[in-house]
Amino acid sequence: MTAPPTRPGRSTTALRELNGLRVLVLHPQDAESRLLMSHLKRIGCVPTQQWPLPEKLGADADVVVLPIEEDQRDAIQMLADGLNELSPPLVGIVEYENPATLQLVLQSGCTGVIERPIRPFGLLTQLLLARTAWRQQAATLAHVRKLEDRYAAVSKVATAKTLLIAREGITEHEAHRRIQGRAMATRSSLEDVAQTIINELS
Amino acid sequence: MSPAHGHRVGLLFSHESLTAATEVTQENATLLAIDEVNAAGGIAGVPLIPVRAQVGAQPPDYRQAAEWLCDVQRVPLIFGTHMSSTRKAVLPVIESRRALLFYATLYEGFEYSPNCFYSGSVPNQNSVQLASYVIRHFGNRVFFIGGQYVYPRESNRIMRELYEQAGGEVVDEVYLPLNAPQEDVTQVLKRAVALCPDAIYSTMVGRDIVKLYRAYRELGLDPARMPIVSLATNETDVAALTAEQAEGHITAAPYFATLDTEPSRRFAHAYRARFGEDSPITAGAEAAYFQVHLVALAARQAGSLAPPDLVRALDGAQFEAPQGLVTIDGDTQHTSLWPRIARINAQRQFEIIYAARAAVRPVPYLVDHALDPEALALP
Repeated sequence: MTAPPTRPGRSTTALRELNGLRVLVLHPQDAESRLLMSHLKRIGCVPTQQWPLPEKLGADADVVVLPIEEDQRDAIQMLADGLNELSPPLVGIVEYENPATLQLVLQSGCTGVIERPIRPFGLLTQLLLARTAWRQQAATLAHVRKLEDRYAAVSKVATAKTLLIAREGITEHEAHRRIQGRAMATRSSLEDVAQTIINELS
Repeated sequence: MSPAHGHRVGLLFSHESLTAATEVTQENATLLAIDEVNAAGGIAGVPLIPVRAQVGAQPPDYRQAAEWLCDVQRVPLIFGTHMSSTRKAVLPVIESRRALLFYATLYEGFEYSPNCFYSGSVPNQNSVQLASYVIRHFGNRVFFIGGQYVYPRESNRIMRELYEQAGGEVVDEVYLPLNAPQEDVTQVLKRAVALCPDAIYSTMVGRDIVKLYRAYRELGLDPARMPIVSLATNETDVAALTAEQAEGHITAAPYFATLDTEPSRRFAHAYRARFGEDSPITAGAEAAYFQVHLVALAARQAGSLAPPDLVRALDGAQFEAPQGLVTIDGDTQHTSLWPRIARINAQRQFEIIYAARAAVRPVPYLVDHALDPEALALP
């Protein structure tokens, strides 16, 4: 008799968003795509279908499902080159697992794959994994951006301080208080004050 | 086997598994329905011939039996399996032979196989109503006890969400290995009592159920204040309990043999006439019964039992089942059912205390369940 160390919590965001998730299926109309579309509807997603592969992806889908196949190599590459951080995650449909196909999977930037023949089992998992990886990546990017901004500010302040110390013969502590004082007096950011000082002194 | 002799159909129910008692009722009901179909002329004059597989207790035994039915007996369809683990073990066999499985047991949802039809409840047809009723009548603190496999985990996840929606609390959650010893069940129950929940939600199955209700009685607990509530406890479990052990506890299911309607009385009468006056009838048996009739209706319409034709004909198929009019939802291949809740009385009978006013459509892929205002508002 043991209680589990971790308890299953409430549904994660990823699970909840399945209902109404906009899935763009890039696939020719055929029996397999009909199966795919009907299972997407069954699990509560809102699928739309399009073919041939577009050159660019819009932001109006939450996940894109597309075949990763040799005869589409150039089109896939073009699509992948046009991806940016706002582009939705991709789930590939693969028929082979040979190195050439795997390379294409990597180049396409897929964060999930399903296999041919397409069957219902496994689709839900891949959608979830792709969305979760995408969300984590978006969060990481946002964090990196914030750190970059902060780093730029910190390095400007450091430059301004160095200039003040060199030109006015004051200590680092005094330089810091000077910048802080001006920022408070003018109600502007340390970074802006530092920039003004750099402009004045260099 | 040529249709001139009959259409052979497979039965895959174990007499040895943890849930054997309920599976036997499902097998009985399947045989009864096959007889009724044949008495009504079979499929265009050709009778259905039941082929029963010997099934051991474990999932691999079910898989082996499915292989025997498909490959040696060449049946196009199988009625059976019970626990989710046994359905999962059999489905790859069914899919690879392009056969069909008809599954007549409640389960946790999140499944669709083009080769499977589901005639038991999914959570939007039983958990939602049960949680709503129990919160309304007993309070919003609950203790979970269940077995270590997929159904208890997922069923508890949904129950937890429903309780949290109502501002309630899951005071603890314990999973025992299947076939747990009686002492362990008693220990868990003691722990539950110490936490003072308003109800104990049990996802124990089969023979383990009986241990829970016995332990409850031995501890002198009061079902009027803190009942065991369940989706799985049924007439076969109650048959193994005394009235003192069973009375006052609550189960949600689409069918109870106490249901006093003409189709229900007819079914219960025919079942008991054939299998004995004292033989318990379960919701699983009722689903097993009506799914055979649905197959027969569809086969007559399709003119064959060949899976692709049958699947098409089953889309939207309806039957006046003992529980009420049931309809197959072609999109999910699950079934619209009539949620009910019953309390076990001093005669060890399930007394129906809540019945949905209409059949509820199956939503097997529902992530967010909401409490049922109708069941919440009941007096």
